[in-house]
Amino acid sequence: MSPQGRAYLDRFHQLLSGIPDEEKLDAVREIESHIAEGIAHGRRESEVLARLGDPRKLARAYRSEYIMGRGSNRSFRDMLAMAGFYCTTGLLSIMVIPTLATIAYGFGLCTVLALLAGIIRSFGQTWISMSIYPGVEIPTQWSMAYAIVLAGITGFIAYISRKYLRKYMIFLSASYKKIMPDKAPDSDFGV
Amino acid sequence: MEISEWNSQVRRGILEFCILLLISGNPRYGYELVTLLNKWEPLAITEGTLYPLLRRMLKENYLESFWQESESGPPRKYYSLTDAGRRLMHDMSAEWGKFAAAIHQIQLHRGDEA
Repeated sequence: MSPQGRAYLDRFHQLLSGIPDEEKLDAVREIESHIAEGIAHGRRESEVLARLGDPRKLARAYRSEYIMGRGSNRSFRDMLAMAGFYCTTGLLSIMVIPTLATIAYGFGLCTVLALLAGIIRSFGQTWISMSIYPGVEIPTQWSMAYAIVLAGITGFIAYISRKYLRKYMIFLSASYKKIMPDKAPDSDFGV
Repeated sequence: MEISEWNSQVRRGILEFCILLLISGNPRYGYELVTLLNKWEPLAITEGTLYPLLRRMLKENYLESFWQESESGPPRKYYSLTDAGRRLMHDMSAEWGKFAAAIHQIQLHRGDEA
């Protein structure tokens, strides 16, 4: 094997961090055997190496398969990653989700009520009071217009909160998947 | 969706099945598997995909491996099926038959009653 081939294998070995030594050696030995096999079949070493691709990519594929192959025995590092996730993003969610949800649905309800009030007041039900300042009442014929403006404002706030709640949820599941690569089997082994 | 992307998604789904089938007759080594798979253009894969995948299937106990000297060249790492691997292969064969039949039906009748 040429110095170029040796260098490839050394680099590959270095990059296989996080995998037990015994398996690392076995993996390197297998790739070495593959290169030699290619040469024995009359191919040039550079061609075989090119087909194997960037050693970094190859090592990464090994590592991600290794994580997935471990199944349920989570390592200490995974536990820490999970704990970190729940302490940061998790705690943040306790604040963010109820707040946004309350605003979204609370203001949504306000919107409906304002429109209802506008309709009822337009038909002369003066027990509904609409005022801009204390003491400054809206004339009955303007009830509907006022209700629509009010509903527009509350409706807009509800819409925005709902939108961001959705965005936050998507962000949340994306970062969860990042922490738990085994839950997202479509990670990166490029076919 | 690009056809090449679709192709790689389908291939990703059936690659393990192909590997199980290829080594069910007799044990085979990595170089041999890549060469064999590359005979069929839609199944062509790179070494960078095959070896990590073999490793995972070993871990999952569907395959077992052993090193053997060869007359011409370096020692080879051979793979063969475990009992679990053989069962998986049979299950996949049955499922594959169902998939193929379903797709065939849809292609023929487009969901209309025959």
